[in-house]
Amino acid sequence: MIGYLLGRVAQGVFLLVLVTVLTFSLMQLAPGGPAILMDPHIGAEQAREMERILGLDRPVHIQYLRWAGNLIRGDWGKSFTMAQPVLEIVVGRLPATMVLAVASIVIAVVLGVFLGTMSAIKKDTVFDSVITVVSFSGISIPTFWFGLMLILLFSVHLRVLPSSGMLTVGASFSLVDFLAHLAMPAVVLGSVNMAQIARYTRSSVLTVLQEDYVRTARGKGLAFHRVLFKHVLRNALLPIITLIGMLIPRVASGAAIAETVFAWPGLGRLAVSAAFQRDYPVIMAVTLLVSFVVILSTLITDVLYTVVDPRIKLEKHR
Amino acid sequence: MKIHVRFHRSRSWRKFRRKRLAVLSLVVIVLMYALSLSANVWVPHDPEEVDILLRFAGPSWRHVFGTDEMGRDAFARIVYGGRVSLSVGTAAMVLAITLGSLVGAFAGFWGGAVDAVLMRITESMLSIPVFFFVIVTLAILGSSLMNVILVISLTSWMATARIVRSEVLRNKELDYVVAARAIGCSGPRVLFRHALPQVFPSIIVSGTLGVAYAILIESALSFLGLGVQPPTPSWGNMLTGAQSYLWKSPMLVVYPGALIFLSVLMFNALGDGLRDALDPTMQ
Repeated sequence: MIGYLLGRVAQGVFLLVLVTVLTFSLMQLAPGGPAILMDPHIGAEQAREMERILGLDRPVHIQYLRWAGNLIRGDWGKSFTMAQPVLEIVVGRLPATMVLAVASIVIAVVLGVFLGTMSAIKKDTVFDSVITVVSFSGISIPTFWFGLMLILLFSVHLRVLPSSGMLTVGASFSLVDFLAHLAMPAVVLGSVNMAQIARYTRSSVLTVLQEDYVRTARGKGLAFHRVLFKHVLRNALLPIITLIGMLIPRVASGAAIAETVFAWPGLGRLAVSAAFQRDYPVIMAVTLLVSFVVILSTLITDVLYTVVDPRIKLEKHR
Repeated sequence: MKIHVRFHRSRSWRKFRRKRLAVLSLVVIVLMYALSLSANVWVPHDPEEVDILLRFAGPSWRHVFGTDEMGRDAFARIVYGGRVSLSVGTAAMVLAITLGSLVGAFAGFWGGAVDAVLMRITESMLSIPVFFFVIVTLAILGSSLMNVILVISLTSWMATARIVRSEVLRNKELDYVVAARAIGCSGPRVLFRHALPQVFPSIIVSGTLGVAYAILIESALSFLGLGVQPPTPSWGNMLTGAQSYLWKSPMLVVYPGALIFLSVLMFNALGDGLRDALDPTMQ
């Protein structure tokens, strides 16, 4: 167990290093070179002077180590467009994205498991076909357009939900107001994953239903719903934890789109607007921070899975 | 051998034809390519022709879908936009499955350290939020059509690599590959002439699903303003700023998105149908 945990943590650290190397390499490609990242308004001569001061005339790997050292010390550079250290900006935006991501995952898991299970136990009925079509559409629909269509329905026509932001401007905080703002972005971000989870749950439940122990449980006269909850779902749903772990990177990517459509003040929207303003330090920082959080969350779900599932023999696992 | 192969193919074809949705999707896809690629022959309007006096016009005989915020013919823009979206999607898919197949084939065939390194890279790509790296790359290098295609393909080859690797691993142990080795074929020859052709059905399936994915990513990037740049229309960038005229002229938002949805749905359905028809284990 300890060995597995250490191995898994080492893998996470390796990924973190990889992410920083990737980000650092991309930075080398920025027009004007990395010196311009410090201050975009400098001339060629000053740039060379700057490069000497910053140590950019040193070998690349030395530069990388210096840069990584600064990251660890919390010096993530300064934004071109906002008069604030980058780290402060991105950390300030993190909670909004986390709330949205968690809400979307909850929606995706609850709806996905429910629809997938129903569709498995009502296999080959109209209900099953409808859910199959819904989940198939869920993986095919462009999320930003789905968001726009929801705005068209709920904000333009029905006027029941606000189309953008996290809270009503000027109003004092109320939970209802916050949830009304959260509803559409969370559903949009959750839709793809809901479809994936529903498809997965359906086939997983169908497989477990064939198992001998399910037939035994039915044979000894247990009611169907007891068999379903005590035997089938317990076994069918454990792998869902792994599936969620695999979906986390995509939730982060999807957040960039959902946040832009609904003007949700999170990291994704920050990255997109920074990309427009060519505010490289901010985009870099968002990418790094999101990657850190994603790698950490995936690590947690993986470890959680081994704790929850007693069948896993870690010696054989990896 | 030849007879057997033909028999197998026709059986696949018969199985495919039985799936109505898959056949329908193939027809729709062929139609979409044909109509959008021949746009300059049959579409009466120029998609970039601006008519400031005729902004947000409703549907009429002259402009069947009306006009957009710059008085351009919405229908022409949708057809020409489809040309861009489908081409970018197809090109990105071709690059992605080529890269993915090579990575998967080398990893599966050579095994050992090559396999370990290549699969670690593949796994790493799947565990980081690649979309943010796409944003960074396009912000730094600019959103030329070529960059958009490259960036999409460089971030979507992983699924193909995994599938091809497992297929190659399975085939490597089979008699025909062992026989090819025994008569002295070189490693690359065994791989490319014997093992890879057997994996081809899986590559076709993952390519079909790959177009769906590439169209989705391209449209999202273009919507965010980081993909295909105006005035060139693409289904994604036609929706940029769409929110501002969602109240005024909602159909301008509905049509392009509905076409992205339709084409992605059709490619996914075709991929599913092909998988069922080509996969020998699903009989």
